[in-house]
Amino acid sequence: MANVQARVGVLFAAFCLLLAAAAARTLYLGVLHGAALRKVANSQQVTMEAVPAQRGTITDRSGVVLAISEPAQDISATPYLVKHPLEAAQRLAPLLGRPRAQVLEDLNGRGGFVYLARALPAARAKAVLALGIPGVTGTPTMRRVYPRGALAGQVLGMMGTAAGTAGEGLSGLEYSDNAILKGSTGERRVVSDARGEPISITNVRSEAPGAQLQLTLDANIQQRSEAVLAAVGKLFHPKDATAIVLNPDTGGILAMANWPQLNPNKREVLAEGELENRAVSFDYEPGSTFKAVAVSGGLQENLITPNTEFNVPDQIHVADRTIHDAEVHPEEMLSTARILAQSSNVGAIEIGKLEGASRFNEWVRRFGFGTRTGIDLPAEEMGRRLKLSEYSGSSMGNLPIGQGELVTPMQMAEAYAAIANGGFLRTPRVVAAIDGHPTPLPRGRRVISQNTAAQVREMLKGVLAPGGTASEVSVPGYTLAGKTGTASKVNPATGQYSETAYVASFMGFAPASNPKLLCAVIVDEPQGGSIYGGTVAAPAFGQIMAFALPYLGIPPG
Amino acid sequence: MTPPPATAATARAPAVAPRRAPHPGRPARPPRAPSRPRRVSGPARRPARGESILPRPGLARPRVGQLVDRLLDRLIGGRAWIAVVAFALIGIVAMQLWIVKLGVGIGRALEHEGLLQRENSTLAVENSTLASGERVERLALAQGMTIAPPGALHFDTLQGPLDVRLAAAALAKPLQTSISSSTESTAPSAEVSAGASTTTGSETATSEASPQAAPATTASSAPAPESPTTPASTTEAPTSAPSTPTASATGGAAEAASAPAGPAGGTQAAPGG
Repeated sequence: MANVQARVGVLFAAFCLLLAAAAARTLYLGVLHGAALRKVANSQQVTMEAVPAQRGTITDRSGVVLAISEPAQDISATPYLVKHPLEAAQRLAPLLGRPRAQVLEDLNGRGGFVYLARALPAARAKAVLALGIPGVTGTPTMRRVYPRGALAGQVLGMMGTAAGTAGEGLSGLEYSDNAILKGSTGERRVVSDARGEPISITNVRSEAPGAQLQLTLDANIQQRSEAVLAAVGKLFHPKDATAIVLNPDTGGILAMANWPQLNPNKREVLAEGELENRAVSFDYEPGSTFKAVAVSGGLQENLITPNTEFNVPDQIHVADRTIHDAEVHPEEMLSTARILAQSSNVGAIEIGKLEGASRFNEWVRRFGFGTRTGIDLPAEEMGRRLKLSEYSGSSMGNLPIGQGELVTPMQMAEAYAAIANGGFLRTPRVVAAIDGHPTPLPRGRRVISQNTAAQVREMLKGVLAPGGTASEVSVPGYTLAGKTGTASKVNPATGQYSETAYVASFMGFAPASNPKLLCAVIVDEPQGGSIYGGTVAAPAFGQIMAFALPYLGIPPG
Repeated sequence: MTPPPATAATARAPAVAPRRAPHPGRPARPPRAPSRPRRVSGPARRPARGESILPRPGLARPRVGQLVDRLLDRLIGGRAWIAVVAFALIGIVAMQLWIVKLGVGIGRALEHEGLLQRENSTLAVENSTLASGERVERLALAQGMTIAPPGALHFDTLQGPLDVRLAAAALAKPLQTSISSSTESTAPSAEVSAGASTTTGSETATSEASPQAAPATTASSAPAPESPTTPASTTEAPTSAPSTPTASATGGAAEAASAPAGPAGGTQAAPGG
């Protein structure tokens, strides 16, 4: 019994000793070295991960994806932690898609941090990290992909990839709608066990994905428009060209094509001006397409009717200058409709003179020239409308025929849309819905009466009829209406109108009696045979309409 | 188990004698105070039949706190309590493990989410690429189909119910027949070519396969640089280039100042339309 008591005592003492030892150890770990150990543990087990927000997808009107973000990783290295840079460079280079020498140079750098690749696709990044090279890490991010390549490149815009601009839109919709597309990055606290398995994940801040943009663009019409412009580019070697297809009733842009194209996926090679969306940023003198504005004003003021006849010689003197018609012809009587159909400069000037500078200037203002259309795209120019006080004696010999003022293709399309839709000037738009919520339809304002609009439409049919300036263009089954334009450009060196540089354009719509589709084509400095709106831009208009009208199921008429 | 309260009898119990005799060298221990009765595990004694646990009338009413104490004593005094505590301890450990497993699960789910997101994006990209009109056209051409040129599409005016019947019959033909027949036909036919026809409003659209068979009224398929007819027949395209202004270039500077982009020049042969 005494033996048992002794053993119990020893056991008790042993337990006491162990308890004391444990207490001492606890004191050592928890109090004396607590702070240092906690720091080490935190760095080893606790990580704060940034959770990149998925940037909003951009689709066309029927849901075809035009821009999308996919998970990716920024691969970086801490050079002094990489033990064998040469070997590491050899293994990393093919996965990073970079020359081995460049990777080696980065790994041999003196800095404590270097990016080896930005926004590497997730699969490749995983392969890189699977190599397990010490000092090489990945940071989750998102990568912007444009599945259709160059389709609507200038409209969609581009994303920045360099430090400081990474994840930010640089141009186009990516820039103008960056705030709603971007979303907000989240943060997550992850505690991992010794094997690196996460044992606790806490959302410090939830990420918010960006909004989805549904555009009014139609990928197929856009594609066809770009193909047509490419053909124009190949044939006429212009400086650049642009085409706009829109629904005149709603102002919804169905296509906005530019040539040369921009492929946002290939950010490395960018030619000068390639980012520019010329449909909204190209200031040009419109030429004869502007005559429709002068005629509309005259009709609305009841100064003329479609049948009002004018005595039209082939040249006219206005102040100190002489303006000619495009070809020599004897003095003849031309109705307003014929003046428009034959694009008589002298006739248009006569109409302008009848209106007078003040009223003409007011009509130019009412049609929205000199102010931005307000389209939801960045970098829109406003053109240049002369103030009445800036008019010289010869201004009324220039302005009614579309010389001496600057407009953008979008402004012209908007003005012609007003003629097409019965007189409403409506702000064009590209974004149809944000996150499924339709954007409100711009209210618009009436600029001309329904009757005037109908009269102008009827007269514009003559342009594509026999004897008109675009009589070769037709779309079977549909009656077209429109106006050609060939404008001289100013030579910046001389300050005079150039004898070689022109802007060829065509504004038109169909079906003429009840327009459902409008198309504007502007070709800057066409070369190689022709320079005229009727032969350069109008056929392109015809081809785009020949595709788009049946494609949209617009009944013939 | 709380023993019943000590009674006066137990308090008066005689001191227990020491089990061992005191060591000769040590002073004798003082006699121990009488101990309280040993705790006995087990349920509390039940009151005898008819005995009430409530204080007898006339005695001071016990306070509510005392009642609660007694209730608690009874509750945790049983052996089952040991099992409850053991179960709770095991439960806590199990719950901790479960939480750790949950963390691991969440980690895996997040990884899976990322993977699905990647796959989703990849599929969306693929979907968009596959839907490309250019690709569809290329595949169609590879399968022997031909793209109807814009000018080949024309509309026939509806002429009574007969045409409707023919159109309906043509639409009912198998697709293969329609493709072969449409590739063979070269001239616009009064009959509706099957398959490639659509009826819109009161007119019927017929698409012809042969590009050579474009009607005279249709648009040219590509912009013609020469454009032989336009300049000759209209004033729009001048035979003399628009860059041939006649000389009267006075006052150009004044206009240049007022013109937006500095255009100047006294006379101009405005190119027109």
